[in-house]
Amino acid sequence: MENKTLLRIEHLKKTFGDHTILKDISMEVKKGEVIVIIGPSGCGKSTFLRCLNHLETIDGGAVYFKDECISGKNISRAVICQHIGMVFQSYDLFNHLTVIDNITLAAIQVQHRKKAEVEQAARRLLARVGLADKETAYPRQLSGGQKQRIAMIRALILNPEVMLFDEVTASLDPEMVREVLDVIIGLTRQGMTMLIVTHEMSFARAVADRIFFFDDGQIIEENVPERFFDKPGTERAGQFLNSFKFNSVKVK
Amino acid sequence: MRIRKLYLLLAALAIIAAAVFAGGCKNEAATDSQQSTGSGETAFRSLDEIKKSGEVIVGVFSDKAPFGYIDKEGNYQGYDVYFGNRLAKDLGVKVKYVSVEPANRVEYLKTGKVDIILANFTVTPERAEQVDFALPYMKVALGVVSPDGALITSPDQLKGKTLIVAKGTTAETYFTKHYPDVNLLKFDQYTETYNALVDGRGDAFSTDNTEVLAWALKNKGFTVGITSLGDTDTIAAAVHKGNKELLDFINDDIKKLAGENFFHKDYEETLAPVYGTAVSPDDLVVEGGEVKK
Amino acid sequence: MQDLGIRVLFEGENGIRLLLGLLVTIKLSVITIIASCILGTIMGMLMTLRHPAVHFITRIYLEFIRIMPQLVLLFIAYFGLTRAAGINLSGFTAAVIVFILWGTAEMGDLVRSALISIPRNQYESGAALGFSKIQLYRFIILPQALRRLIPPAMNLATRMIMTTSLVVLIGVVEMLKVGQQIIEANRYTAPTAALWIYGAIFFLYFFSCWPLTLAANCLEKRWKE
Repeated sequence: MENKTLLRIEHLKKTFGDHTILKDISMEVKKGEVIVIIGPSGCGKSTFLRCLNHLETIDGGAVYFKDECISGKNISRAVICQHIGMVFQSYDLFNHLTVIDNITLAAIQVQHRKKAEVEQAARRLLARVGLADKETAYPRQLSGGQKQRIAMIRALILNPEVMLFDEVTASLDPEMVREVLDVIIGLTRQGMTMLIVTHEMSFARAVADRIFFFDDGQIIEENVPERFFDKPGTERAGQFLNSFKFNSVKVK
Repeated sequence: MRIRKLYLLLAALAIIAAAVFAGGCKNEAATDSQQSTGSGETAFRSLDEIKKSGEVIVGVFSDKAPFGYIDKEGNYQGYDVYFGNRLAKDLGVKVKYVSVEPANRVEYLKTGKVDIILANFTVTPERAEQVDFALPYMKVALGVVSPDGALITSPDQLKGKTLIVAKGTTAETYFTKHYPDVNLLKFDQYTETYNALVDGRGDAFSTDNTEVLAWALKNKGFTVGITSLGDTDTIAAAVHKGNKELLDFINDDIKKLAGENFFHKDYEETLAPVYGTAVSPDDLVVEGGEVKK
Repeated sequence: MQDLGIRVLFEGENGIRLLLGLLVTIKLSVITIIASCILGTIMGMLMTLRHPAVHFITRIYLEFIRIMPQLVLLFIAYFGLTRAAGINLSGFTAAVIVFILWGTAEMGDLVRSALISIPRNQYESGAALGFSKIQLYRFIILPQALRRLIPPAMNLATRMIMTTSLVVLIGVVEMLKVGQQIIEANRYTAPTAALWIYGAIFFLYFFSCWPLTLAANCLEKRWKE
């Protein structure tokens, strides 16, 4: 991991009507770092990711990418999305396009890259996640896990420097979770900078460099994974982690 | 959300109501001003303008044989058209026919899209408020058709007998009012009335004389014993309200044409092939604008 | 009697006149359906914007067109405009305007409902890949909406073709009217002609609408694969 700051978030605020979703979030992400954000539902963690690539407008604070402010209204989303890729919970591939067209469309239309080059890259990525034979398939012929892996490739082919993962395994059947998480683990090995929102605690522990615990629109705790999971520094994080544990529950 | 929708709907209705109301007022205002200023408003073409353009535009029916229809060569024909051709000739211009419908004859005149309507236009007081009628060139009355074996030639013969009529027609009203002793057998549709007559369910059938005359010609064994009965409706050309020059021209022409028995010739050419010799032309034709009872 | 009826179809100019009537029907239909598709797509996209003024205007436009019978609209365009403003449109032009106004409103509403039936996620994942608004619609939303749009749009197009027979009331003589003219001209000499003429009209209408149905089925099949 290099010691260069890639993403800097300062005093980020977000409100919906008179409901404040994000109160005052500041965070620095270094190049190659894997940040995992966890917290109860409704704590604002998804909104936080969406604020970073302009899917939501922000109501205060600023976001810097390589020391350049990217949260201004005049910054085009097309530029930001070249640098920051995102994958969602619902594996929303474009249903009218084949797998290969799903993957290459943005590279060709937004980045104006050559079709042949992009398709070659797409095939390489497909092979890497074990889906080389699905090139001409349509989304409805695929399983949830397969769709989600293709959604990842679709974001990765744009060569982003940061990837945002928003609960990418939350709507998958349990047996498909692993195949998707393995792709992310592969990315950590390549040194991809990532911000991951997830409920998979053991996965979080395995991949995270740092854990951020969000509650009520605020960062409650920031910690390294071992400390966070074994001996959380705050009571609220402790309570949250306990809700995932069943060893104190005795049936019979 | 629901309240918003309701509000939208109400707003839409209000605007439509306002538009219709305003439109209505405007139309009335327009006709009023035309009436008061006479030919000052130029929603119609004057006699001079028609002559200068070299073409008179005449609204006729295109599917009402034998009065106004299109023959197999695509040309306008019929009793009305025969008159239209003559009018144009006497005006010294060419004629352009426009196909009109019963429902839009008045509108065509009021908007000046035609100069003259010659579409079997029955003169009524309501229509006379909207357009100016020329002298009549045809008349329509009731006719009574019956089997040759028991021919009815006078309404008095019908007393105590059964007369077939179609509901809502002039025949129904006329016989109810003037001959209450006649038993009426009423039907909703024309086809039913003819079938009833053929089946002998009634002694005679009455409706517009043009209708029964044409039918009797095609059905052997039946004759129209009474060819003209009851209140006579007249049929006339119509022009835009206030187009006095054109109206006068048509009226003068009709009077002049009486000298050569023009409408009898028209009858021979266009109606006789349909109505045959059983009917006297004078039951239908009006010559010189004078209706003889 | 039977052979007399069918002979009417081939007498003089009758057959040609019927085909010329069909040409009027087709010309009016093709112009207005194509224009309605283009303008209706724009209108449908406008309707999905959450702009209060745009929403209000499009809504009123749609309700107005829906409440008014097409016949009334035709009379307003042909006679009403002349009376109120002295504008003298030809019957065909007036018909084209009314049918485009009507088709655009109905098509707009179909496009709107097709657009909102595309899940929000499709818009978002497209946005996250950096597509501009126009690219988003062109490559992702419209192609998917189009697939849902084909059946109701076909229905509308067929309805528009059938409704063209109303234009006779503003003096445009189309196929059905020519048919009636031929039938009436032969009413006394060949009463059975009616059957043959209406039969011919039925076939001509059928063969005008059939290619549309075929094309729609073909597209649907292709997109299903």
